[in-house]
Amino acid sequence: MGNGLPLMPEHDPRLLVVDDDPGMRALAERFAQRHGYQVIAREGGHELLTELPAIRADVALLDRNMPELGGLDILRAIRKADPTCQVILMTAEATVDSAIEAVKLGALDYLAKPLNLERLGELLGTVREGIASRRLLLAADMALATQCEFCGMVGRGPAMQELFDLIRRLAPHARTSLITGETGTGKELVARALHKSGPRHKGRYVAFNCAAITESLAQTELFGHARGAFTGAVDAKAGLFEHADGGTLFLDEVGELSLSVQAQLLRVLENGEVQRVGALDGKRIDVRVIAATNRTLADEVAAGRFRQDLYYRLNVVEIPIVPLRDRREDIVYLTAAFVREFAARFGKQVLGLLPGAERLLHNAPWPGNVRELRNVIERACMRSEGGMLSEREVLKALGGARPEAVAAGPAAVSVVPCAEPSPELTRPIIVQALQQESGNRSAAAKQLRISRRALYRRMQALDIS
Amino acid sequence: MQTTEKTLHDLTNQLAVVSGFAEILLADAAPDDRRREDFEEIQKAAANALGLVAQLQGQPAPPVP
Repeated sequence: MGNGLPLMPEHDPRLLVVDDDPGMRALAERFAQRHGYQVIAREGGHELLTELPAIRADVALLDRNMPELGGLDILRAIRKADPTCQVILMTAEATVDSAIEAVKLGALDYLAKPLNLERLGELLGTVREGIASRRLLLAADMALATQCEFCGMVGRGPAMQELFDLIRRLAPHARTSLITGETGTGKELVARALHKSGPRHKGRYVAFNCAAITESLAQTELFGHARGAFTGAVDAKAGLFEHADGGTLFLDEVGELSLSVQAQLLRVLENGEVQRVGALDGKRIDVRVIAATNRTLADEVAAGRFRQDLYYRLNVVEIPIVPLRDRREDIVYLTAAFVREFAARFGKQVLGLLPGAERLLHNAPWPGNVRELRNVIERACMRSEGGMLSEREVLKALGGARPEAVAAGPAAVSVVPCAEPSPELTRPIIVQALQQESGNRSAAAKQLRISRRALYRRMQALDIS
Repeated sequence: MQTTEKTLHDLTNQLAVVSGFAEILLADAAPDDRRREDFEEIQKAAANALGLVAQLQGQPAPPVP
Protein backbone atom coordinates (compact mmCIF):
# COMPACT_ATOMS: atom_id res chain seq x y z
CA MET A 1 0.00 0.00 0.00
CA GLY A 2 1.40 3.33 -1.02
CA ASN A 3 1.99 6.39 1.07
CA GLY A 4 -0.40 9.27 1.45
CA LEU A 5 -3.74 9.74 -0.18
CA PRO A 6 -4.05 9.94 -3.92
CA LEU A 7 -5.29 13.32 -5.06
CA MET A 8 -8.84 12.95 -6.16
CA PRO A 9 -10.32 15.76 -8.16
CA GLU A 10 -13.83 16.54 -7.03
CA HIS A 11 -16.49 15.97 -9.61
CA ASP A 12 -19.48 18.25 -9.65
CA PRO A 13 -22.58 16.35 -8.64
CA ARG A 14 -25.00 15.77 -11.49
CA LEU A 15 -28.65 16.80 -11.61
CA LEU A 16 -31.19 15.52 -14.09
CA VAL A 17 -34.10 17.94 -14.65
CA VAL A 18 -37.21 16.58 -16.35
CA ASP A 19 -39.99 19.06 -17.08
CA ASP A 20 -42.05 19.59 -20.22
CA ASP A 21 -42.00 23.34 -19.68
CA PRO A 22 -38.87 24.91 -21.20
CA GLY A 23 -39.01 27.90 -18.82
CA MET A 24 -39.00 25.65 -15.76
CA ARG A 25 -36.19 23.56 -17.20
CA ALA A 26 -34.11 26.67 -17.83
CA LEU A 27 -34.79 28.01 -14.35
CA ALA A 28 -33.91 24.74 -12.62
CA GLU A 29 -30.81 24.36 -14.75
CA ARG A 30 -29.57 27.87 -14.05
CA PHE A 31 -30.37 27.57 -10.35
CA ALA A 32 -28.64 24.20 -9.90
CA GLN A 33 -25.56 25.34 -11.80
CA ARG A 34 -25.21 28.15 -9.31
CA HIS A 35 -25.24 25.48 -6.59
CA GLY A 36 -22.30 23.73 -8.21
CA TYR A 37 -24.24 21.12 -10.14
CA GLN A 38 -23.66 19.79 -13.58
CA VAL A 39 -27.15 19.74 -15.14
CA ILE A 40 -28.77 17.54 -17.74
CA ALA A 41 -32.20 18.86 -18.76
CA ARG A 42 -34.77 16.73 -20.63
CA GLU A 43 -38.37 17.34 -21.57
CA GLY A 44 -39.41 13.78 -20.72
CA GLY A 45 -41.08 11.18 -22.88
CA HIS A 46 -40.31 7.55 -23.48
CA GLU A 47 -36.90 8.05 -25.08
CA LEU A 48 -35.68 9.33 -21.71
CA LEU A 49 -36.15 5.84 -20.28
CA THR A 50 -33.57 4.30 -22.61
CA GLU A 51 -31.18 7.11 -21.84
CA LEU A 52 -31.53 6.85 -18.04
CA PRO A 53 -28.81 4.31 -17.22
CA ALA A 54 -26.20 6.35 -19.09
CA ILE A 55 -27.04 9.64 -17.37
CA ARG A 56 -25.79 8.51 -13.95
CA ALA A 57 -27.27 11.47 -12.12
CA ASP A 58 -26.79 11.95 -8.38
CA VAL A 59 -30.20 13.56 -8.08
CA ALA A 60 -33.21 14.02 -10.37
CA LEU A 61 -35.81 16.79 -10.29
CA LEU A 62 -39.00 15.52 -11.92
CA ASP A 63 -42.25 17.22 -12.81
CA ARG A 64 -45.08 14.99 -11.70
CA ASN A 65 -47.56 15.97 -14.39
CA MET A 66 -46.24 15.61 -17.89
CA PRO A 67 -48.21 14.61 -20.98
CA GLU A 68 -46.40 11.50 -22.21
CA LEU A 69 -44.83 10.03 -19.10
CA GLY A 70 -45.50 11.22 -15.54
CA GLY A 71 -42.87 11.93 -12.92
CA LEU A 72 -43.89 8.88 -10.87
CA ASP A 73 -43.27 6.61 -13.88
CA ILE A 74 -39.84 8.15 -14.35
CA LEU A 75 -39.20 7.78 -10.62
CA ARG A 76 -39.96 4.06 -10.91
CA ALA A 77 -37.66 3.77 -13.91
CA ILE A 78 -34.86 5.55 -12.06
CA ARG A 79 -35.28 3.22 -9.10
CA LYS A 80 -34.61 0.33 -11.47
CA ALA A 81 -31.92 1.87 -13.65
CA ASP A 82 -29.90 3.68 -11.03
CA PRO A 83 -31.09 3.00 -7.48
CA THR A 84 -28.52 5.36 -5.98
CA CYS A 85 -29.99 8.42 -7.70
CA GLN A 86 -32.03 10.62 -5.35
CA VAL A 87 -35.32 11.94 -6.68
CA ILE A 88 -37.22 15.17 -5.99
CA LEU A 89 -40.73 15.47 -7.41
CA MET A 90 -42.49 18.75 -8.18
CA THR A 91 -46.17 19.19 -8.71
CA ALA A 92 -48.76 21.90 -9.16
CA GLU A 93 -51.43 19.90 -7.36
CA ALA A 94 -49.82 18.55 -4.24
CA THR A 95 -52.21 16.12 -2.61
CA VAL A 96 -51.47 14.04 0.46
CA ASP A 97 -52.06 10.80 -1.46
CA SER A 98 -49.65 11.63 -4.24
CA ALA A 99 -47.03 12.74 -1.74
CA ILE A 100 -47.37 9.44 0.15
CA GLU A 101 -47.01 7.52 -3.08
CA ALA A 102 -43.88 9.45 -4.02
CA VAL A 103 -42.29 8.87 -0.63
CA LYS A 104 -43.20 5.18 -0.79
CA LEU A 105 -41.33 5.02 -4.06
CA GLY A 106 -38.33 6.49 -2.33
CA ALA A 107 -38.49 10.16 -3.34
CA LEU A 108 -36.28 12.46 -1.31
CA ASP A 109 -38.89 15.23 -1.27
CA TYR A 110 -42.05 16.46 -2.86
CA LEU A 111 -42.14 20.14 -3.81
CA ALA A 112 -45.21 22.19 -4.66
CA LYS A 113 -45.22 24.49 -7.67
CA PRO A 114 -44.53 27.37 -7.95
CA LEU A 115 -41.18 26.11 -6.91
CA ASN A 116 -39.72 27.33 -3.65
CA LEU A 117 -36.14 27.92 -4.78
CA GLU A 118 -34.87 28.23 -1.24
CA ARG A 119 -36.12 24.73 -0.41
CA LEU A 120 -34.69 23.35 -3.65
CA GLY A 121 -31.36 24.94 -2.78
CA GLU A 122 -31.41 23.23 0.63
CA LEU A 123 -32.14 19.87 -0.94
CA LEU A 124 -29.35 20.22 -3.51
CA GLY A 125 -27.03 21.18 -0.67
CA THR A 126 -28.05 18.08 1.32
CA VAL A 127 -27.37 15.79 -1.62
CA ARG A 128 -24.02 17.40 -2.30
CA GLU A 129 -22.99 17.16 1.34
CA GLY A 130 -23.98 13.50 1.33
CA ILE A 131 -21.67 12.83 -1.60
CA ALA A 132 -18.85 14.85 -0.07
CA SER A 133 -19.16 13.09 3.28
CA ARG A 134 -18.98 9.65 1.62
CA ARG A 135 -15.85 10.86 -0.10
CA LEU A 136 -14.35 12.06 3.17
CA LEU A 137 -15.34 8.81 4.80
CA LEU A 138 -13.34 6.85 2.26
CA ALA A 139 -10.35 9.15 2.71
CA ALA A 140 -10.61 8.65 6.48
CA ASP A 141 -10.95 4.88 6.06
CA MET A 142 -7.88 4.89 3.82
CA ALA A 143 -5.90 6.83 6.38
CA LEU A 144 -7.03 4.43 9.11
CA ALA A 145 -6.19 1.46 6.90
CA THR A 146 -2.66 2.81 6.63
CA GLN A 147 -2.48 3.32 10.39
CA CYS A 148 -3.63 -0.20 11.17
CA GLU A 149 -1.45 -1.82 8.55
CA PHE A 150 1.21 -4.26 9.58
CA CYS A 151 3.53 -5.74 6.95
CA GLY A 152 0.90 -5.47 4.22
CA MET A 153 -1.95 -6.73 6.41
CA VAL A 154 -4.82 -4.47 7.36
CA GLY A 155 -6.73 -5.12 10.54
CA ARG A 156 -8.21 -2.74 13.02
CA GLY A 157 -10.39 -5.17 14.93
CA PRO A 158 -9.21 -7.09 17.99
CA ALA A 159 -8.63 -10.36 16.09
CA MET A 160 -5.99 -8.86 13.83
CA GLN A 161 -4.45 -6.69 16.52
CA GLU A 162 -3.91 -9.86 18.56
CA LEU A 163 -2.39 -11.53 15.53
CA PHE A 164 0.01 -8.61 14.97
CA ASP A 165 1.00 -8.74 18.65
CA LEU A 166 1.61 -12.47 18.41
CA ILE A 167 3.79 -12.00 15.32
CA ARG A 168 5.80 -9.26 17.02
CA ARG A 169 6.37 -11.44 20.07
CA LEU A 170 7.22 -14.61 18.16
CA ALA A 171 9.31 -13.15 15.35
CA PRO A 172 12.54 -12.77 17.37
CA HIS A 173 12.47 -16.31 18.79
CA ALA A 174 10.38 -19.03 17.21
CA ARG A 175 12.30 -21.39 14.94
CA THR A 176 9.31 -23.31 13.65
CA SER A 177 5.74 -22.15 13.51
CA LEU A 178 2.51 -23.33 12.01
CA ILE A 179 0.07 -20.87 10.47
CA THR A 180 -3.49 -22.08 10.17
CA GLY A 181 -6.39 -20.42 8.42
CA GLU A 182 -8.84 -20.80 5.60
CA THR A 183 -7.88 -20.19 2.02
CA GLY A 184 -7.35 -16.51 1.23
CA THR A 185 -6.85 -15.36 4.83
CA GLY A 186 -3.27 -14.24 4.15
CA LYS A 187 -1.10 -17.02 5.57
CA GLU A 188 1.79 -16.07 3.32
CA LEU A 189 1.61 -12.45 4.50
CA VAL A 190 1.91 -13.65 8.10
CA ALA A 191 4.93 -15.76 7.13
CA ARG A 192 6.57 -12.77 5.46
CA ALA A 193 5.80 -10.62 8.50
CA LEU A 194 7.49 -13.18 10.77
CA HIS A 195 10.51 -13.15 8.51
CA LYS A 196 10.67 -9.36 8.18
CA SER A 197 10.20 -8.68 11.90
CA GLY A 198 12.71 -11.31 12.98
CA PRO A 199 16.51 -11.42 13.24
CA ARG A 200 16.77 -13.15 9.87
CA HIS A 201 15.19 -10.35 7.87
CA LYS A 202 18.45 -9.86 5.98
CA GLY A 203 18.52 -13.54 5.01
CA ARG A 204 16.50 -15.09 2.19
CA TYR A 205 12.79 -15.68 2.36
CA VAL A 206 11.91 -18.72 0.25
CA ALA A 207 8.33 -19.83 -0.33
CA PHE A 208 7.34 -23.27 -1.50
CA ASN A 209 3.86 -24.56 -2.26
CA CYS A 210 3.72 -28.21 -1.28
CA ALA A 211 0.48 -28.81 -3.16
CA ALA A 212 1.69 -27.64 -6.53
CA ILE A 213 4.20 -30.41 -7.09
CA THR A 214 4.62 -34.21 -7.32
CA GLU A 215 6.24 -36.23 -4.55
CA SER A 216 9.59 -36.88 -6.24
CA LEU A 217 9.89 -33.29 -7.38
CA ALA A 218 9.03 -32.07 -3.88
CA GLN A 219 11.93 -34.13 -2.56
CA THR A 220 14.55 -32.77 -4.92
CA GLU A 221 13.16 -29.23 -4.69
CA LEU A 222 13.29 -29.20 -0.90
CA PHE A 223 16.42 -31.20 -0.22
CA GLY A 224 18.34 -31.02 -3.52
CA HIS A 225 20.10 -33.94 -5.16
CA ALA A 226 23.62 -35.25 -5.70
CA ARG A 227 25.15 -35.64 -9.15
CA GLY A 228 23.94 -38.88 -10.72
CA ALA A 229 21.32 -39.43 -8.03
CA PHE A 230 18.83 -40.39 -10.73
CA THR A 231 18.59 -40.42 -14.51
CA GLY A 232 18.94 -36.86 -15.69
CA ALA A 233 20.64 -35.59 -12.53
CA VAL A 234 23.69 -34.45 -14.52
CA ASP A 235 24.69 -31.86 -11.95
CA ALA A 236 24.35 -31.66 -8.23
CA LYS A 237 21.65 -29.26 -7.10
CA ALA A 238 21.02 -27.52 -3.83
CA GLY A 239 17.51 -27.74 -2.44
CA LEU A 240 15.41 -24.94 -1.02
CA PHE A 241 16.59 -25.69 2.53
CA GLU A 242 20.17 -24.95 1.54
CA HIS A 243 19.02 -21.99 -0.51
CA ALA A 244 17.22 -20.53 2.50
CA ASP A 245 20.19 -21.11 4.82
CA GLY A 246 20.37 -18.20 7.25
CA GLY A 247 16.83 -17.16 6.33
CA THR A 248 13.28 -18.44 6.28
CA LEU A 249 11.60 -21.26 4.37
CA PHE A 250 7.84 -20.99 4.04
CA LEU A 251 6.08 -24.29 3.34
CA ASP A 252 2.57 -23.49 2.17
CA GLU A 253 -0.11 -26.20 2.26
CA VAL A 254 2.16 -28.48 4.25
CA GLY A 255 -0.74 -30.87 4.74
CA GLU A 256 -0.42 -31.89 1.08
CA LEU A 257 3.07 -33.40 1.49
CA SER A 258 3.32 -37.17 1.08
CA LEU A 259 4.15 -39.25 4.15
CA SER A 260 7.66 -40.06 2.93
CA VAL A 261 8.53 -36.40 2.32
CA GLN A 262 7.03 -35.65 5.74
CA ALA A 263 9.51 -38.12 7.25
CA GLN A 264 12.44 -36.40 5.54
CA LEU A 265 11.18 -33.00 6.58
CA LEU A 266 10.96 -34.15 10.18
CA ARG A 267 14.58 -35.34 10.07
CA VAL A 268 15.74 -31.95 8.79
CA LEU A 269 13.82 -30.14 11.51
CA GLU A 270 15.13 -32.40 14.25
CA ASN A 271 18.77 -32.60 13.20
CA GLY A 272 19.23 -29.22 11.53
CA GLU A 273 20.89 -31.16 8.76
CA VAL A 274 19.77 -31.64 5.19
CA GLN A 275 20.78 -34.55 3.01
CA ARG A 276 20.57 -34.17 -0.74
CA VAL A 277 18.85 -37.03 -2.57
CA GLY A 278 21.50 -39.60 -3.43
CA ALA A 279 24.18 -37.98 -1.24
CA LEU A 280 25.91 -39.76 1.63
CA ASP A 281 26.63 -36.85 3.90
CA GLY A 282 24.32 -34.28 5.36
CA LYS A 283 24.91 -30.56 5.49
CA ARG A 284 24.22 -28.37 8.48
CA ILE A 285 21.76 -25.62 7.81
CA ASP A 286 20.20 -22.84 9.84
CA VAL A 287 16.70 -22.22 8.56
CA ARG A 288 13.55 -20.97 10.20
CA VAL A 289 10.66 -23.09 8.93
CA ILE A 290 7.18 -21.65 8.78
CA ALA A 291 4.50 -24.06 7.65
CA ALA A 292 0.95 -23.20 6.72
CA THR A 293 -2.17 -25.18 6.10
CA ASN A 294 -5.86 -24.65 5.52
CA ARG A 295 -6.58 -28.16 6.78
CA THR A 296 -7.07 -29.12 10.38
CA LEU A 297 -3.84 -31.03 10.84
CA ALA A 298 -5.06 -32.78 13.97
CA ASP A 299 -7.79 -34.38 11.85
CA GLU A 300 -5.23 -35.32 9.21
CA VAL A 301 -3.15 -36.97 11.92
CA ALA A 302 -6.19 -38.89 13.19
CA ALA A 303 -6.90 -40.04 9.63
CA GLY A 304 -3.31 -41.23 9.22
CA ARG A 305 -2.50 -38.72 6.48
CA PHE A 306 -0.12 -36.62 8.51
CA ARG A 307 2.69 -37.75 10.80
CA GLN A 308 1.94 -37.06 14.40
CA ASP A 309 5.59 -36.40 15.30
CA LEU A 310 5.90 -33.85 12.48
CA TYR A 311 2.64 -32.26 13.58
CA TYR A 312 3.96 -31.77 17.13
CA ARG A 313 7.24 -30.48 15.78
CA LEU A 314 5.51 -27.83 13.62
CA ASN A 315 2.80 -27.09 16.12
CA VAL A 316 5.18 -25.78 18.80
CA VAL A 317 3.82 -22.38 17.95
CA GLU A 318 0.50 -22.19 16.17
CA ILE A 319 -0.66 -18.93 14.63
CA PRO A 320 -4.33 -19.09 13.74
CA ILE A 321 -5.83 -16.51 11.34
CA VAL A 322 -9.53 -15.84 11.67
CA PRO A 323 -11.70 -15.95 8.55
CA LEU A 324 -12.93 -12.63 7.19
CA ARG A 325 -16.55 -13.33 8.16
CA ASP A 326 -15.42 -13.37 11.81
CA ARG A 327 -13.78 -9.96 11.57
CA ARG A 328 -16.27 -8.04 9.48
CA GLU A 329 -15.33 -4.81 11.26
CA ASP A 330 -12.16 -4.79 9.13
CA ILE A 331 -13.96 -5.07 5.79
CA VAL A 332 -14.40 -1.33 5.41
CA TYR A 333 -10.66 -0.66 5.93
CA LEU A 334 -9.59 -3.52 3.69
CA THR A 335 -11.98 -2.21 1.06
CA ALA A 336 -10.58 1.30 1.32
CA ALA A 337 -7.03 -0.02 0.98
CA PHE A 338 -7.93 -2.12 -2.07
CA VAL A 339 -9.91 0.70 -3.69
CA ARG A 340 -6.87 2.92 -3.35
CA GLU A 341 -4.59 0.23 -4.76
CA PHE A 342 -6.71 -0.56 -7.80
CA ALA A 343 -7.90 2.97 -8.53
CA ALA A 344 -4.23 3.91 -8.81
CA ARG A 345 -3.36 0.83 -10.86
CA PHE A 346 -6.16 1.33 -13.37
CA GLY A 347 -5.79 5.11 -13.38
CA LYS A 348 -9.42 5.59 -12.39
CA GLN A 349 -10.91 8.10 -10.03
CA VAL A 350 -12.86 5.74 -7.86
CA LEU A 351 -13.91 7.87 -4.93
CA GLY A 352 -15.53 5.36 -2.66
CA LEU A 353 -18.59 3.20 -2.20
CA LEU A 354 -22.23 4.05 -1.92
CA PRO A 355 -23.92 2.85 1.27
CA GLY A 356 -25.69 -0.05 -0.48
CA ALA A 357 -22.42 -1.32 -1.93
CA GLU A 358 -20.74 -1.07 1.45
CA ARG A 359 -23.54 -3.03 3.09
CA LEU A 360 -23.26 -5.71 0.44
CA LEU A 361 -19.55 -6.16 1.07
CA HIS A 362 -20.06 -6.12 4.81
CA ASN A 363 -22.66 -8.89 4.69
CA ALA A 364 -21.22 -11.20 2.02
CA PRO A 365 -20.15 -14.66 3.26
CA TRP A 366 -16.55 -14.39 1.93
CA PRO A 367 -15.63 -18.06 1.64
CA GLY A 368 -12.49 -16.94 -0.19
CA ASN A 369 -11.70 -14.43 2.58
CA VAL A 370 -9.48 -11.37 2.01
CA ARG A 371 -8.22 -12.65 -1.33
CA GLU A 372 -11.79 -12.85 -2.57
CA LEU A 373 -12.58 -9.35 -1.29
CA ARG A 374 -9.47 -8.06 -3.06
CA ASN A 375 -10.53 -9.75 -6.30
CA VAL A 376 -14.03 -8.30 -6.02
CA ILE A 377 -12.69 -4.77 -5.53
CA GLU A 378 -10.23 -5.26 -8.38
CA ARG A 379 -13.03 -6.31 -10.72
CA ALA A 380 -15.34 -3.51 -9.58
CA CYS A 381 -12.60 -0.89 -10.02
CA MET A 382 -11.67 -2.27 -13.42
CA ARG A 383 -15.23 -1.90 -14.67
CA SER A 384 -16.02 1.33 -12.86
CA GLU A 385 -16.40 4.52 -14.85
CA GLY A 386 -15.15 6.45 -11.86
CA GLY A 387 -17.01 8.10 -9.01
CA MET A 388 -18.68 5.98 -6.40
CA LEU A 389 -18.91 2.21 -6.69
CA SER A 390 -22.60 1.37 -6.70
CA GLU A 391 -24.40 -1.61 -5.27
CA ARG A 392 -24.89 -2.87 -8.81
CA GLU A 393 -21.22 -2.66 -9.72
CA VAL A 394 -20.23 -4.50 -6.56
CA LEU A 395 -22.93 -7.09 -7.12
CA LYS A 396 -21.59 -7.71 -10.60
CA ALA A 397 -18.07 -8.08 -9.25
CA LEU A 398 -19.33 -10.44 -6.55
CA GLY A 399 -21.14 -12.52 -9.15
CA GLY A 400 -17.93 -12.83 -11.12
CA ALA A 401 -16.13 -14.03 -8.01
CA ARG A 402 -18.22 -17.11 -7.83
CA PRO A 403 -16.32 -19.74 -9.83
CA GLU A 404 -13.02 -18.84 -8.18
CA ALA A 405 -14.53 -18.89 -4.74
CA VAL A 406 -15.92 -22.36 -5.39
CA ALA A 407 -12.61 -23.57 -6.76
CA ALA A 408 -10.68 -22.03 -3.92
CA GLY A 409 -10.81 -25.01 -1.61
CA PRO A 410 -12.82 -27.06 0.79
CA ALA A 411 -13.90 -24.07 2.85
CA ALA A 412 -15.62 -22.49 -0.14
CA VAL A 413 -19.36 -22.38 -0.31
CA SER A 414 -21.33 -20.63 -3.02
CA VAL A 415 -21.53 -16.89 -2.82
CA VAL A 416 -25.02 -15.50 -2.61
CA PRO A 417 -24.51 -11.84 -3.47
CA CYS A 418 -27.26 -10.52 -1.32
CA ALA A 419 -27.52 -8.17 1.59
CA GLU A 420 -29.84 -10.40 3.58
CA PRO A 421 -29.11 -14.04 4.17
CA SER A 422 -31.36 -15.92 1.80
CA PRO A 423 -32.52 -19.50 1.96
CA GLU A 424 -31.02 -21.99 -0.43
CA LEU A 425 -32.71 -21.08 -3.68
CA THR A 426 -33.76 -24.38 -5.10
CA ARG A 427 -35.80 -24.78 -8.25
CA PRO A 428 -39.18 -25.23 -6.52
CA ILE A 429 -38.63 -22.11 -4.38
CA ILE A 430 -37.84 -19.97 -7.41
CA VAL A 431 -40.68 -21.41 -9.50
CA GLN A 432 -43.10 -20.81 -6.65
CA ALA A 433 -41.95 -17.20 -6.22
CA LEU A 434 -42.36 -16.59 -9.95
CA GLN A 435 -45.84 -18.08 -9.93
CA GLN A 436 -46.88 -16.03 -6.92
CA GLU A 437 -45.73 -12.88 -8.69
CA SER A 438 -47.40 -13.96 -11.97
CA GLY A 439 -44.08 -14.24 -13.73
CA ASN A 440 -42.87 -10.76 -12.75
CA ARG A 441 -39.16 -11.30 -12.23
CA SER A 442 -38.46 -8.07 -10.41
CA ALA A 443 -41.18 -8.83 -7.91
CA ALA A 444 -40.03 -12.42 -7.54
CA ALA A 445 -36.45 -11.27 -6.96
CA LYS A 446 -37.68 -8.87 -4.31
CA GLN A 447 -39.63 -11.64 -2.61
CA LEU A 448 -36.54 -13.87 -2.62
CA ARG A 449 -34.44 -10.96 -1.36
CA ILE A 450 -31.94 -11.23 -4.18
CA SER A 451 -31.16 -8.88 -7.03
CA ARG A 452 -32.95 -9.26 -10.34
CA ARG A 453 -29.63 -10.11 -11.89
CA ALA A 454 -28.98 -12.83 -9.33
CA LEU A 455 -32.42 -14.24 -10.05
CA TYR A 456 -31.70 -14.33 -13.79
CA ARG A 457 -28.43 -16.12 -13.15
CA ARG A 458 -30.13 -18.60 -10.89
CA MET A 459 -32.91 -19.18 -13.44
CA GLN A 460 -30.36 -19.78 -16.16
CA ALA A 461 -28.40 -22.18 -14.01
CA LEU A 462 -31.54 -24.13 -13.11
CA ASP A 463 -32.91 -23.90 -16.65
CA ILE A 464 -36.12 -22.13 -15.66
CA SER A 465 -37.65 -20.11 -18.47
CA MET B 1 -63.85 25.59 -16.78
CA GLN B 2 -61.31 22.78 -16.98
CA THR B 3 -59.31 24.67 -19.60
CA THR B 4 -59.38 27.88 -17.59
CA GLU B 5 -57.99 26.05 -14.57
CA LYS B 6 -55.29 24.49 -16.70
CA THR B 7 -54.40 27.85 -18.17
CA LEU B 8 -54.18 29.37 -14.70
CA HIS B 9 -51.84 26.57 -13.63
CA ASP B 10 -49.64 27.19 -16.62
CA LEU B 11 -49.69 30.90 -15.96
CA THR B 12 -48.59 30.27 -12.38
CA ASN B 13 -45.65 28.22 -13.63
CA GLN B 14 -44.59 30.87 -16.12
CA LEU B 15 -44.75 33.56 -13.45
CA ALA B 16 -42.68 31.32 -11.17
CA VAL B 17 -40.05 31.14 -13.90
CA VAL B 18 -40.02 34.95 -14.23
CA SER B 19 -39.78 35.37 -10.47
CA GLY B 20 -37.13 32.64 -10.16
CA PHE B 21 -34.86 34.15 -12.80
CA ALA B 22 -35.25 37.57 -11.18
CA GLU B 23 -34.16 35.97 -7.91
CA ILE B 24 -31.10 34.44 -9.57
CA LEU B 25 -30.20 37.77 -11.21
CA LEU B 26 -30.50 39.48 -7.85
CA ALA B 27 -28.35 36.88 -6.15
CA ASP B 28 -25.67 37.26 -8.84
CA ALA B 29 -25.66 41.06 -8.82
CA ALA B 30 -23.02 42.90 -6.80
CA PRO B 31 -24.36 44.94 -3.83
CA ASP B 32 -23.71 48.22 -5.70
CA ASP B 33 -25.12 47.00 -9.02
CA ARG B 34 -27.51 49.69 -10.34
CA ARG B 35 -29.77 47.02 -11.86
CA ARG B 36 -30.67 45.56 -8.47
CA GLU B 37 -33.76 47.78 -8.20
CA ASP B 38 -34.89 46.71 -11.67
CA PHE B 39 -34.60 43.02 -10.75
CA GLU B 40 -36.52 43.71 -7.57
CA GLU B 41 -39.27 45.39 -9.64
CA ILE B 42 -39.53 42.27 -11.85
CA GLN B 43 -39.73 40.07 -8.79
CA LYS B 44 -42.36 42.26 -7.17
CA ALA B 45 -44.49 42.34 -10.33
CA ALA B 46 -44.25 38.56 -10.70
CA ALA B 47 -45.28 38.12 -7.05
CA ASN B 48 -48.26 40.45 -7.53
CA ALA B 49 -49.28 38.57 -10.67
CA LEU B 50 -49.05 35.25 -8.80
CA GLY B 51 -51.36 36.77 -6.17
CA LEU B 52 -53.84 37.78 -8.86
CA VAL B 53 -53.85 34.29 -10.37
CA ALA B 54 -54.44 32.83 -6.93
CA GLN B 55 -57.41 35.18 -6.52
CA LEU B 56 -58.83 33.95 -9.83
CA GLN B 57 -58.37 30.37 -8.60
CA GLY B 58 -60.14 31.29 -5.37
CA GLN B 59 -57.06 30.40 -3.32
CA PRO B 60 -54.96 32.35 -0.88
CA ALA B 61 -51.94 33.92 -2.57
CA PRO B 62 -48.93 31.55 -2.70
CA PRO B 63 -45.94 32.52 -0.60
CA VAL B 64 -43.53 34.73 -2.52
CA PRO B 65 -40.44 32.63 -3.24
